[in-house]
Amino acid sequence: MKMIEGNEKLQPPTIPEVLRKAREDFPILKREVHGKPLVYLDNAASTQKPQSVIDTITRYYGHENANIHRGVHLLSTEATAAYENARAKIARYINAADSSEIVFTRQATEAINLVAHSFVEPIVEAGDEIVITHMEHHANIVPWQLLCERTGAILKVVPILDNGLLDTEAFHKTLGPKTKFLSFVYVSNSIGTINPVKTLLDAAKERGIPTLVDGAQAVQHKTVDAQSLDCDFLVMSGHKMFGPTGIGALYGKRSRLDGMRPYQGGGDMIAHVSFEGTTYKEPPSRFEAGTPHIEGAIGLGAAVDYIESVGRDVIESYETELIAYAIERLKEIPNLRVVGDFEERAGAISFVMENAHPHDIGTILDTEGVAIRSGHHCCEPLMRRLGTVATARASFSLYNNHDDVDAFIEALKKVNTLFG
Amino acid sequence: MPQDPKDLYKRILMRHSKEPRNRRTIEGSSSEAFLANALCGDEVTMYLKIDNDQLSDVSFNAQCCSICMASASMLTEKAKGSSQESTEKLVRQFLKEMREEEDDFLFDESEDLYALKSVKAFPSRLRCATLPWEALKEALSAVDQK
Ligand SMILES: Cc1ncc(COP(=O)(O)O)c(C=O)c1O
Repeated sequence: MKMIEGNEKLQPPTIPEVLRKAREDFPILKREVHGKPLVYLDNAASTQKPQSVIDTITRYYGHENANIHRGVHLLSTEATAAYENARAKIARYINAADSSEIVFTRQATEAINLVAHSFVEPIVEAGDEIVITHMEHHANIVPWQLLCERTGAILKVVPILDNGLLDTEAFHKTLGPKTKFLSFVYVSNSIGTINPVKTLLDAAKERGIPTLVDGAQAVQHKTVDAQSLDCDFLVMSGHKMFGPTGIGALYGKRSRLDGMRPYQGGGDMIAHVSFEGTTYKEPPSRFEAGTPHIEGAIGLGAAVDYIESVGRDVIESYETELIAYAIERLKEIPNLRVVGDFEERAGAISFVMENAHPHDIGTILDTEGVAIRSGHHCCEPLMRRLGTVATARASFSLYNNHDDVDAFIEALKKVNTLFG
Repeated sequence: MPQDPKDLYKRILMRHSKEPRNRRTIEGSSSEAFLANALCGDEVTMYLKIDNDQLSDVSFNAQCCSICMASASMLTEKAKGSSQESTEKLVRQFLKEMREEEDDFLFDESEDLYALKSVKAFPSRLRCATLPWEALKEALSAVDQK
């Protein structure tokens, strides 16, 4: 642990009581890589899983496994209850008005595609506008480009400022009479910007424009309340919030979901099928065709339980302090520049070094046991706007501590030794 | 065996990445090819000029990591002055050996290119080393189609 007198910011944050033992909950953190203890700073790509999530999945297959919404036998009844119970947990977690407002999807990506296909496509005509921002993940760009190709709608992009914040003035000007939908990211996965969600959503609401918030990097770091935000849709990915891969969730206001056409066809989403015509179930079933990722949903429920056992206020304030400590310590590394010049940051720090390419930084850190990501982070337009093609990114989670930051800084010093 | 970055970032490699040879465009090239690695954003364009079946000039432009830069630099040095056919063969051989686990390597210690052998121990960086070669392969086959 490193302390320099006179600089308060260099005091590593105190680990709150509930988080003292958090590392022990994540078995993978005991692993070594290349003979060094694992320092996992790639949480924006995917978080690690607590034992409780792993146990839940094992127990499901050991005790409850059956298809849901089908059999009358006990196992199927139990599996159905567990699946629906997970839905209710997620509804509570983001404060949806009702659990029928949660649709299970494969991940945030599928949730966005679902909204594009089932909600937006039927309401746009050629010349209408869809608004996104310059800092979107490809998952919130490409589905809209595809939709524009199909419909002749126009994709409008709200610019960002040189410092990496959204240009809110330009935002207000971008919304116009032809705007049919607004979709934007809450927290940027690549540079950690926190967007002024409420301001953006209120402006859209005033004009009657329906909205989607990409919460993939927000829901694990902050309290996100769908009803108080008053967005129409909110998407998230299970694997970024301590849950399994292959499961995510779409929140949609019930009044919106009710009027939407199905996304895929198959079993489980129909009320009646005949060759003369088929009728569909109510939401959320209408949007969950086929046998779902049952253990994924249940595992995600367990992940939400885990986050709530710590408390999101605790997580947010601890992570904020840890990130501030890391930012301060990064000043020790000559030739290093943090990308994005702003105070409030969630999850991720992106940086570049004058003498070493992000990919080389990533390799050298890896050999020191420090896992970070390098590349464009699925945000090519943002990278180009910030004058680069790639950055190195360290992203934090509740189990990271000052030892991780210290190991990260020491590894960066090695980069400078090698690349001099 | 622990991976040691010093094995990867050998002096020769660092020299080529910091002062790459033939990093320029060729006006009036016989062929050129651009390739990008979507994973990390590396971008390379290879240019070549052919006179009487000989590669009279080979060059590149790139925005990329040190491994990719060094690989491109060394490749241009090697290919310049060789025949088109022997270069095609060399590129094919290199790409094959980089993919394989075996210890054989087409370059020996007397050549700068030998430094790329160490990349084989870093699977996540293989593509960095091969990208310029793949681009040259494309540029060469584009010549054939002309
Ligand atoms: C902000 C944001 N949106 C969407 C996604 C897509 O997530 P997934 O690949 O899990 O659908 C990510 C993943 O990195 C992200 O960070």
